Amino acid sequence: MGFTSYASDKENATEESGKDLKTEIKEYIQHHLQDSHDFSLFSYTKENGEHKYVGFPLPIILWDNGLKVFSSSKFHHGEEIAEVDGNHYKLYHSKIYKTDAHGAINYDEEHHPTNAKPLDFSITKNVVMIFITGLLMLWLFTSLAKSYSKNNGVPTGAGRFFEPIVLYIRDDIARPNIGEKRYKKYMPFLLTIFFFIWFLNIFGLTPLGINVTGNIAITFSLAIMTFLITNFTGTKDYWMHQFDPLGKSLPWYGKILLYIILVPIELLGLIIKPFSLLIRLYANMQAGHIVLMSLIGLMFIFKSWLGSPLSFLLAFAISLIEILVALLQAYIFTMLSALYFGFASEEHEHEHEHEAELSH
Amino acid sequence: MSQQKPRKKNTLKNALVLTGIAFEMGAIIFLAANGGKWLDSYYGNEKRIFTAFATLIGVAISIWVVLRQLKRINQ
Repeated sequence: MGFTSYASDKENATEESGKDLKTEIKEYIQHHLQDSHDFSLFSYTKENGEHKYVGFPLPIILWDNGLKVFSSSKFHHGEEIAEVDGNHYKLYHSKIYKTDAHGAINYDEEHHPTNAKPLDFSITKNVVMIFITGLLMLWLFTSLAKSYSKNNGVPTGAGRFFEPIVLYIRDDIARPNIGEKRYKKYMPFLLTIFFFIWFLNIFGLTPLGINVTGNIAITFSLAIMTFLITNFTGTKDYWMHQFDPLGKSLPWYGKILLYIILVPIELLGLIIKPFSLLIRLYANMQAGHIVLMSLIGLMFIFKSWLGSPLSFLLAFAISLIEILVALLQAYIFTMLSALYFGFASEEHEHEHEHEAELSH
Repeated sequence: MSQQKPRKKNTLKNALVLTGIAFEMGAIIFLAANGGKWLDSYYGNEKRIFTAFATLIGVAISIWVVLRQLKRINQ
């Protein structure tokens, strides 16, 4: 994130003196945190006031009474109205609205646009990064697998780095949490989700600075996957635990009153578990990006020999912590997913524990 | 869960489980308070007595849920 935002923040700050520097930095951070419809690396303003963007456009795919596909360069970074098949579209705060030929946007009382929003399936910056990460993982791990057969099972090159991590996930995350019998079924998902989140977190820290895992839609879909796998692979014991949490410790007439409260709470827990997963990842990554960019932004507010190097040092220190957080969040997500799978696949052992408890 | 785990790994896992409990408590209290609010608006109470009591019950339930999970962790 460092360099790009540094360069472009500087340009933005000197750009218009009409706007307050603080609000400008705030807006810049807000803009960075959002997904965008083009892949711009940085922008600057020429001396004659013309905005210059460095980057490339991405395809826009809309469903608006038929499929509309066009390049995002038609929007000129939100400065112009795109006309496609007689329809006009405007990019407003990173969202596409249908407008008239002049690009008029109507607002309701709360200043929210009331224009129609076509269904947006565009390949946005985040989607591009997801594709790149997916392809990178595919290439990396297939070539890794091939290198094992070539070298008689001895890891070489990148394998030396990744083999311990894969083994760690198997031996220290999957096996103890899910159990020796059933852990193999979940390994592909755990490995994929770990490397996917980790790689995307790290990409967010590069000068590309793309905030993919800080996007709530993406963490939401990741958590949905954990939720579905947990519940679809749930054993009988798991479901018994949801609907009959007290088991044999109480006669049925004692349970009725308790279960009116208890069962809804157990079921609520089913949803809250993946929900806490998605909020944890989203909030941590989002907060990291905000803190880092604010510290970088502080440099332009201080504009002094003392303040600016200090905030630079602070930003550097936070970047180092963020590298750790990138790994930690991927680890926590994988670990907790494994734990939930463990709950879902628990069998008999649980009952034995109860019996032992009762016989005391 | 049949494997014998070294002590250190276990505490780390428990710490991770505990971080999720906060969300659970929050959600239960939030839902209880909202239910109370709805009851108050339904009966047109001015002193919002249902909101207060529902929230307190929500807090009690959430603490009880935490205790139940702690019991499971301690096993």
